[in-house]
Amino acid sequence: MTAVFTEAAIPEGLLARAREGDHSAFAGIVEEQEAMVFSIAFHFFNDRSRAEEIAQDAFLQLYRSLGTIESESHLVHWLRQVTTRRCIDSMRRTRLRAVSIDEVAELAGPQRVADPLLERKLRELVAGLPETQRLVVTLRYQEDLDPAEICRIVGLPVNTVKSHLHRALRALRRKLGDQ
Amino acid sequence: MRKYAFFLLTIFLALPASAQRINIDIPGLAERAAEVIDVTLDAQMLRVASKFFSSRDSDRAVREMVNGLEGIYVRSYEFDKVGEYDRAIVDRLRSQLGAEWKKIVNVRSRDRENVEVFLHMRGDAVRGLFVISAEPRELTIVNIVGPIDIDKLGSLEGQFGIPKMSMEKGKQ
Amino acid sequence: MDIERDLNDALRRREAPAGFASRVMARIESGEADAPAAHPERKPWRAIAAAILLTAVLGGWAAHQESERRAGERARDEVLLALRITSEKLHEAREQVNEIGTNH
Repeated sequence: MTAVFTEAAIPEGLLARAREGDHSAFAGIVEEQEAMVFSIAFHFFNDRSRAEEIAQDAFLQLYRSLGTIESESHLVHWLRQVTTRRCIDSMRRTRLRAVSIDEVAELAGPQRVADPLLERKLRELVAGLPETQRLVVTLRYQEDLDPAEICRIVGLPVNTVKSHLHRALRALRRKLGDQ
Repeated sequence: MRKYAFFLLTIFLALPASAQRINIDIPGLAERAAEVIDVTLDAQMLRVASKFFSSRDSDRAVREMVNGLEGIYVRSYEFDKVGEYDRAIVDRLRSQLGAEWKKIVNVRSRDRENVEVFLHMRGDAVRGLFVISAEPRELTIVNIVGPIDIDKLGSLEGQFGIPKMSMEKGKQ
Repeated sequence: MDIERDLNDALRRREAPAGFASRVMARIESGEADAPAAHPERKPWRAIAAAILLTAVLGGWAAHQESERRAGERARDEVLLALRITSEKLHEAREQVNEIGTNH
C-alpha cells in the first residue's frame, strides 16, 4: 500500500562524496529520492513498471550529470525536472492516446477521506488528464509545490501553470460532482 | 465406534462457521497486482475493532453489526494491464460454494464489471455474504461470515463514505 | 468534498518497488552509465551494506512502534473499509440491474 513521506533531506556531504565517485553515497541519494522520482512517474502513467523504468533512467542520467549539480536543493529540482521531461518524452515516443477525462470510468457514491478506493479512482482520473495538466497536478499535490516553483520545472509561464491547475481541478470537480 | 461418532459430531459442530468461510486467497495474485487491498478480520479482531467505535449513533450502528459477525475478509487487486489475472479464478472461487449459498445477483457486462452476490441462508436468516466483482483491471472478493442484516448494511448508507443503496432481499 | 485534500491523499508519495536502488546501482556497476568526472572509485559492498543496515533499522523501528491502540484503530478502519467496499459493490450491481431493467 502507500506510505507517508516527509520531504527527504539529503544528508550533508553525501552529494560531495557521490561527485567524487563514492558509489555508496550515490546509493544513499537514490534511496533518499527514489520515492519522489518514482511517484511523479507513477502518478503520470498510473503504471508501476513504466514508472520504475523512467525513475531508473532518471537516476542513471543523474549519475552521468553529477558534475553539474551545484547543491542538494539543485539536485532535488534537477530530478523533478528530468523526471517530468522523461514522462512527457516517454508518452510521446509511444504515441499513447491521451484519454479525455470524460472517458475515464465513473466514480461511485459519496466518498471518504483517505479511502484507498477513492485514492485509486482519483489516480485514474488524474492519469486521464491531458499531459501538462497531469504534471502540474502531480507536482502541486504530490510535491506540494506552488505555481511559481512548478513553472521553473515545466518551463511554462506562471499564469499558464495556474490556468492548467484551475482547468484540471474544475474537470476533476465536475467529474466527482456528477456522482 | 464412540470415537468415530465423537469425530463426526466435532466436524458437524465446526461446519456452520467453516461453510460460510470461503478461501479467497489466490497464490501469486498479489505479486502480479499493482495495488492490493487486503482486509482479514477474524472474530477476535472484530471484537477489538468494535471497542474503537464511539457511542455516536453512526458508530453504534456499525458496532452492532460487527458484534455478531465471525469474520470479514476482503481482497481487492488492481492491475496495470488488462488480462493480468486468469478469469478461471472466479470459477474456482464459485466452486467452493455449497448448496446453502444462494446467488441473489448476477450481472454480466462486456465492458464493465461482472458482479455476483451470494447469500448463505439458513432458513430465512442470512449467515454469510460473498461478493465477486471482476473488472478487466480489477478483481474484488468479499466474504462476510456470520449473521448479516442487509437492511442494517443499508442503514449505514451515506455514513463513512458508504454509498446509498437498497437491496431487495431475495430478488434474483 | 475537499478535492484538494483528497488529491493530496491520492497523490502522496509512494514507496518505490522493493530493491529499486539496488537495480539502479547494478546498472551503474555494469557500466551502463558513464562514470562521473572525478575519481570513479567503486565500492559496491558499501551500498549493499548500507541498504541492509537501513532495512534492519527501519524494520526494527516499525515493529517497535506497534501498539495495541494502533492495532485497534487499524482494525476499526479496516472494518469501515471492508463495509465500504462491500456496499459499493452491491450498489454497483444494483445500478447495473436497474440499467438493464430500463433498457428492456
